[in-house]
Amino acid sequence: MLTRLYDLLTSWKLSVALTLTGALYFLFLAIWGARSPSHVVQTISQMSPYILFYVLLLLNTLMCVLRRLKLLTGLMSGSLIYLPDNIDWALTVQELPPIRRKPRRSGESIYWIRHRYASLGTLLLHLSLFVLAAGFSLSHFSRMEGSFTAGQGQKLTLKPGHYERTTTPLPLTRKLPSLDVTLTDIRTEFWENRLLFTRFTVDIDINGKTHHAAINDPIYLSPFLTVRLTSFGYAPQYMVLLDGMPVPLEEGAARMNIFPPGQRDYLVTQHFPHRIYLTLYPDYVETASGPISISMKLKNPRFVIEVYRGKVFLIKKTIGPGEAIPIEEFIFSVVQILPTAEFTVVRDLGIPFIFLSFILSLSGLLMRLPGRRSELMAVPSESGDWQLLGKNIPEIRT
Amino acid sequence: MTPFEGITYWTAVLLYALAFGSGLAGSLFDRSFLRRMLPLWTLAGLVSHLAAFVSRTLHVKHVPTMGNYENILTGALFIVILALWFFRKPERQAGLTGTLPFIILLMGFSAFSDTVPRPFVASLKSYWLYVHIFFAWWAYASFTAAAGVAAAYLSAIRKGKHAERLEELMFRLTAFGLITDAVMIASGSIWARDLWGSYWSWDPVETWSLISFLIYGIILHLKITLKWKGKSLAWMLIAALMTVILSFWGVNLIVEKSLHVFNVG
Repeated sequence: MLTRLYDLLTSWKLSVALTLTGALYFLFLAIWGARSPSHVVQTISQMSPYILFYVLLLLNTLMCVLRRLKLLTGLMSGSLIYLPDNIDWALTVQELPPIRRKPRRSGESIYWIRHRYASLGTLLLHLSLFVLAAGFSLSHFSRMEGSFTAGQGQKLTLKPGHYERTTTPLPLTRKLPSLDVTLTDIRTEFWENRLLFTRFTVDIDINGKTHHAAINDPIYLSPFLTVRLTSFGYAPQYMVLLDGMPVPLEEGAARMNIFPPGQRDYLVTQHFPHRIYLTLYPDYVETASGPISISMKLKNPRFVIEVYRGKVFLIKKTIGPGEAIPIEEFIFSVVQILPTAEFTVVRDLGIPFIFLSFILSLSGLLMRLPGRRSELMAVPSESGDWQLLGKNIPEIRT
Repeated sequence: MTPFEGITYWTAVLLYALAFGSGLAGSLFDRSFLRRMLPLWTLAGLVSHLAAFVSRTLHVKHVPTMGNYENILTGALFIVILALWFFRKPERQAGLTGTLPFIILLMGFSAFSDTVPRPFVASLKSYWLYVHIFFAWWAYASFTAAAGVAAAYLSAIRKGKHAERLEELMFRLTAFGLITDAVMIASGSIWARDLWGSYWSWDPVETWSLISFLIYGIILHLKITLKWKGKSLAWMLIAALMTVILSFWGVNLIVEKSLHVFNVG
């Protein structure tokens, strides 16, 4: 029974069956992914049938490689020629034997191929699957993300518990690092008046070192730690003043969801219960159907402010930077509008292993490309004779 | 589309159709002159196609990769170049005849697509884009050519001709396609890590490209290890091309939310 199990686990047919099963499994995922959010698909992809499939595939791959290891490493010796198809014994290259046998059936071909490094390529390709599995497993047990938002010119000190949103700590990563961040510059360009970035780059100091990041060019603080630029926005810098007081009662930059234009968000000051709703129009134009923004850049910025005390509507007004709106006992003023950028810090121990697996698998595949190879092919010609074809044909007697 | 681009584009389609007609008629009626004209018409079509490609590149100021039309313009170019190179010998020209219908259908399909230039958005400004799409187009070109050779193989077998060379071509094209497909997936994953923070997001296009990769991997395993060959191999290659078409065009026609928003309009 053990022998049969061994034969099954090392069989090509099981490999084909498992690969076909994988294709079907991923077909389900693709169909699910068409209608469901990505986190749902991610959850489904980590369910036990998929894990079982990966384990079986890896086991089959390992058993196949081990069973054929001796043959594969033997094939790398330059003195051997591997003869697939009809003939399955190895010969020495120094003395190429004559083709003593003609193919038995019409249409049959005899291939002789000498390609030493193909077997190493095969080994690398299949072993890379294990490195890939290790990388994804490490990633599963260690990937942790946290995000923070910074305004242009703003300094931040991020402690592990100070990130805005973090994912759940995992067994191999319990917390995110401490970072001292200064966002020195944000540069954006949009296509016409649409929310399509043609340029989005930042200059940022992290722990005293200046980095340049773009939307698809993250900062690698280490092989396992990345800081990604994820989002852009605008934040109002505001002041709350009391009548007659020279010093503001409250001031700061509010992190609000007011970009893209037309989005409405609110803030509540520290000293008053009023809800102050803001809608930002970076390039304000009044039309018959209401205000619109004709571009994403701060060319003519205006806020439409609505104020409520509880459910009581108090006032609605349109103001720009440097203007103020009196609200009952206090004055609310927008000082300026800051461009902001959101960053995601990712700690993932699996990243370098996954990258390594790509390198290994591609190296293995490339080794299988035809390089210096001798190939002979005997094909039946129209007249019924056998014709020898191929490159680098050695001296051969037929 | 500029007038020059339109003229050169449709001239290319016409020349490819002439090439196909020439190859088919030459094969059916055993006319060597028509068979000799096949690569010449195709080459003429390629020149016109290149002119359309260059014109589009100059017009949009980036490599044409945005939207259906630009992807077909670029992709079909790769298929033609690969097919002309791989089937340059007279005994392999049946493969060229088999591949041309796919090219004509692709380019005709682009007639239904929006040709308005789109901006080169910030997320696409990466060197990985060029690596990814370069190898993607080589992979799809190889798989298309393999399907073309498979069609030619089936036709030759039906006529009782020997087609071992075509069988070997099918295998080589599939192997080359698999390697370039692997580079495409790997480079796409590395780019995804930079852009979306994760190597793999189970995005529908990503998943379909993996399915396509596995299918061709199965085909190679069946050929090498279980010694499948002949008609079964040919039919599998033609069927497998459907997964490629689905992964690139089909998914974005059906799926609304995909991170791969390159193939719109």
